[in-house]
Amino acid sequence: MQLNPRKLGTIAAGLSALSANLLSANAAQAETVADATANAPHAPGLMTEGAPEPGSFLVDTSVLFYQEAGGRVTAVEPVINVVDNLLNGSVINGAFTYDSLTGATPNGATPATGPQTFTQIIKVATSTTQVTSTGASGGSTVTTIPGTATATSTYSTAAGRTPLAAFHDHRYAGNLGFSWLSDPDTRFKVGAAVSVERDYATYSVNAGVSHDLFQKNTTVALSLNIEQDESQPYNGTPNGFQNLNSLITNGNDHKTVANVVVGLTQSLTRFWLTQLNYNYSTSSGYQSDPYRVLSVVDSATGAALSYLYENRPRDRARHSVYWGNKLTLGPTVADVSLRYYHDTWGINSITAEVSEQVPITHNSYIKPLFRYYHQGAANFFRNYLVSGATLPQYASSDSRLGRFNATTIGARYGIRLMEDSELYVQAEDYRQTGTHYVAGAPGALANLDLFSGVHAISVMTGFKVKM
Amino acid sequence: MIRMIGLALGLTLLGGCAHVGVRPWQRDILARNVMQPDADGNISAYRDHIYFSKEGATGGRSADGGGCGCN
Amino acid sequence: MDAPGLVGPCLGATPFERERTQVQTHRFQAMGSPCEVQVDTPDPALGRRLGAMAQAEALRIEHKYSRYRPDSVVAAINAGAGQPVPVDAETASLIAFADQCYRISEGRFDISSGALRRVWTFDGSDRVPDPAAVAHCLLAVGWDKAIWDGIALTLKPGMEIDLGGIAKEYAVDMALAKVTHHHDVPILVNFGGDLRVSGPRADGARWRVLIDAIEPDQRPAWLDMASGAITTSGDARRFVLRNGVRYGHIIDPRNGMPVPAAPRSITVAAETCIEAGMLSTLAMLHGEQAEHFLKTQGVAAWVAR
Repeated sequence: MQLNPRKLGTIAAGLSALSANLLSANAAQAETVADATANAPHAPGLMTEGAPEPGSFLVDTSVLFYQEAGGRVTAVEPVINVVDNLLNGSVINGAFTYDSLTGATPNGATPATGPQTFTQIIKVATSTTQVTSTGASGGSTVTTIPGTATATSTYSTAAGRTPLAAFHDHRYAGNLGFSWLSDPDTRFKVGAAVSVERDYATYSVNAGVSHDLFQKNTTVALSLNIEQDESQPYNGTPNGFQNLNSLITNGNDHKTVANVVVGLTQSLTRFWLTQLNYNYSTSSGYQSDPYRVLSVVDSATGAALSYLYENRPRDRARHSVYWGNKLTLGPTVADVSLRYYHDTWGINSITAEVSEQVPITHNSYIKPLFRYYHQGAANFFRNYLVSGATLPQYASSDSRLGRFNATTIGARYGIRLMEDSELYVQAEDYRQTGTHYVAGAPGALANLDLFSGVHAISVMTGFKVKM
Repeated sequence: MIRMIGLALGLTLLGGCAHVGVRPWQRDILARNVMQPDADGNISAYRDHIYFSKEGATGGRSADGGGCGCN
Repeated sequence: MDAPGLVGPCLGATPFERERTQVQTHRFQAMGSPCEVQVDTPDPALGRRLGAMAQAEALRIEHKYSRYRPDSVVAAINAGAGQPVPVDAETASLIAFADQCYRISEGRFDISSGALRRVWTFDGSDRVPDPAAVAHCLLAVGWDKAIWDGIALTLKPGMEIDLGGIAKEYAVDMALAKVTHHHDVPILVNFGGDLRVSGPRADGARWRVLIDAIEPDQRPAWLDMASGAITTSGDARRFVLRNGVRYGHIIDPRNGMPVPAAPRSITVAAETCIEAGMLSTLAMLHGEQAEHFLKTQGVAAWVAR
């Protein structure tokens, strides 16, 4: 909206910009300053309070309980996240995460009509050490092979069941970030993150710049992230299609990921903020799962004859376009987003998510949410390999590379128990659905459930406080 | 002297034309915490982590890494 | 409707009542002026609540920036006696604004010119001060003599600042921002004739604003506003008449003399009150050239001579 069809003179134009800056700086500021001193009825509600202002310090502590159906993965993940908004507009943030994971995860083999035994050869420190379990296959039976530094590790799966390998792991992760304004409209950021598990470590650095345009109605942003991963499987890194029942001679392997996001954030109206991102990422290096195999089945009966470690390409490029919206609709806030994704492994995916945050009282809200996800299979996805057929260049039976749909239904409840704080709990039911029975599969396999997608419940509880 | 009509005309135009975005003093709602793209804090980090470890597609929202060995 | 600093003629904001919607009007006194907040709602409780919110903001700004209150930020700065006085972020932004206005007006707008008021008393009499007294006073006037580093302000001993020229307009904008932050109901905020509306009325109509006559023989004028702000500079009642020369109460801080041939009043429309107020003040400081200034700057304005 322009004041006048005539072009403003330099003085009037200058005053217009100066006035706009003065008010934009102070209108949001006064909101929090004045309201803090005002009597309670005029204090902003939990859903109308302003974004954290310079000079505030925020702590968000939370814990995630994650449980997959069927005795699969259980995770407990406490997080502490602190953000220090300095008076000069700089922001320092840091987070620390601990992750405890136990349970079992599909090992990639198909179910069978009879029980299956998986035997692998592992290295042990000395020939006399009796290893009772390893992290990768806790619960398995380990028998040392006399006179050698190796042992056999075996575990079994009952008839008709998806073979699972037990595991137990801890993960420690931390990140630090710093951002600063180089001028009132330009923000630079740098950051670093580390995540360490017993058999995997990732180190990353990121940098970015964002610039506000058109009286801060538009923000353009560019950010880069470089990540170096070190895969340290307990028994070494298997070669692609190496037999499970053979000694792994390779040590650790690694992967490098580069990620760039170009983003545009636009205030469309007083009530509507929209965001459009394009994300390109490229990764090269070891990207297979070092514990995952494929069954090699008999072409007539479908019975598993052997198990070969999976083999994925060492390069992958991902493209995604994300469109997010925040919409204030009366007293409620809707969050609507869409993402389209494509990668060079042949996966195409679409994600749609909608949530509606509704105030219940001045100090509490509820936020139901729904998410739909669909992906097509990677072009090297195989439920199994067939004995006698030519081995493909790459293959993996990981359900995450297969075709499936997933829906999430959840809700969050938040309540302000005391000033400048929020207690929240979010529960979600996540369910993957896909093709369970593959028509035309050899022999008995046609009648066995080959889908190993997950059904999980997660509960996230946390407490945010602003100081 | 600028005529009264001129002023009335100017004011009519104040409310008249379309404009993408808002003026700085209309940022009240956009300045709310719930309208910030990163308002979900720890919850979005959890969800990103869960979906990253269970689905083939990832990314889009931000470039920040810090993944895990669950690929 | 006399207020310290620049005041407009009585600009009564009275929506044209056609019995279509009820408007809740909340009135109070602040910054030396009658103030009103009109809330376009049939709900009297909402009107009272939002009116009280705007009032609280007006009183907060008055308390903070009144040069008459010993505990105000302005009093603290003026008591600095040559020492740097650090200021809070809001005050810093206002001083930075005033600093920029000083520059773009080539020294015509100067928050350190308040001392000149002591030698000029505009009471309709013929008392014109001794040029020596004006010259002496000018020693303690001039923003270029102050040191402003963005964090602390250092005034020369004897210097004073006065934010009265912008505080009322600023208060209108802030009060409006505060109320609209909490509620979408259309409102009009009018502090002593400086007014702004949040947007069209609830039924989409414009706010009808009455501008009172400046001279007894002039008829009042109606204005229809859908958005934006209106301020008026000038006061026909405050002048010194000497040898047939009418010295208006607008003083040019560059020479300490009233601006010759300044219009009696200038009403300006802009998007924000602070912007409109600064434009009308600057136009007034251009004296004879006021209309030319407004025209070349492309400003919607109404000038009364």
